[in-house]
Amino acid sequence: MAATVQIIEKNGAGGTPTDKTSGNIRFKNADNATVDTGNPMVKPGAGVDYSFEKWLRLNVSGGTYTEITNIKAYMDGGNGLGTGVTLYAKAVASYATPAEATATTGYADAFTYTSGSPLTLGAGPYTSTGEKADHLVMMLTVGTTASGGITPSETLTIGWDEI
Amino acid sequence: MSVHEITTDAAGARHGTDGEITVSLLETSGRMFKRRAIKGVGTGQSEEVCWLVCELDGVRVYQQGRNIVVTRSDLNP
Repeated sequence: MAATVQIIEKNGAGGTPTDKTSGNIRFKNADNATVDTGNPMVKPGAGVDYSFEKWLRLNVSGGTYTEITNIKAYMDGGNGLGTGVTLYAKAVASYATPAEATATTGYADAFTYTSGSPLTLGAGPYTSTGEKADHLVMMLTVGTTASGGITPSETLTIGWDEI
Repeated sequence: MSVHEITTDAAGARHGTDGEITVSLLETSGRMFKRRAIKGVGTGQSEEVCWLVCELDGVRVYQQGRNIVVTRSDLNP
């Protein structure tokens, strides 16, 4: 048997979860999990436009397992979002209502986290169902050199060890 | 995507299988676990991956399908 694992996006003051395991995540200028063109990122005349934070977390919704350890997140190492678009990531233990980022302080470029050097979200061990480990908080910036339109998708991987 | 099953027999040996290939760890001092991942989170085209990992004295055997890697490295899908 194995754990049934979801990746959830949390929104609002209460952290309302939305299952994004196989869904799209859209960075935007609003706190919601809706994948639409509302509240888009805007190419600025100067500086950068910061997105609202995306709060993601591993959630065990069922299944049978003994323990989960070593939860981590990483990208493929190459930013394919296009010129002027940067994705940032950090690990945060306690949930806070997603806000529009105002700086990159505390974050690292998400593409520096690779399969050989992932972002650790929690060592564990974790048991039973429910949300596990730290939140993966991500935000995106759009600079003056960015092109218009929807960017290509990028490959975020969330991994864990399980017995 | 198949998730491996790991069992322990009466002698303490661990056996991990994906239903086609079985990896057995006969030493009780080693460890065997599943290294799982969801790749492509947020793209709408995510994929679940499961590797079987068998470790003994710092040497790891990673198995997925017909592919087997023996290394001391900590590999991720």
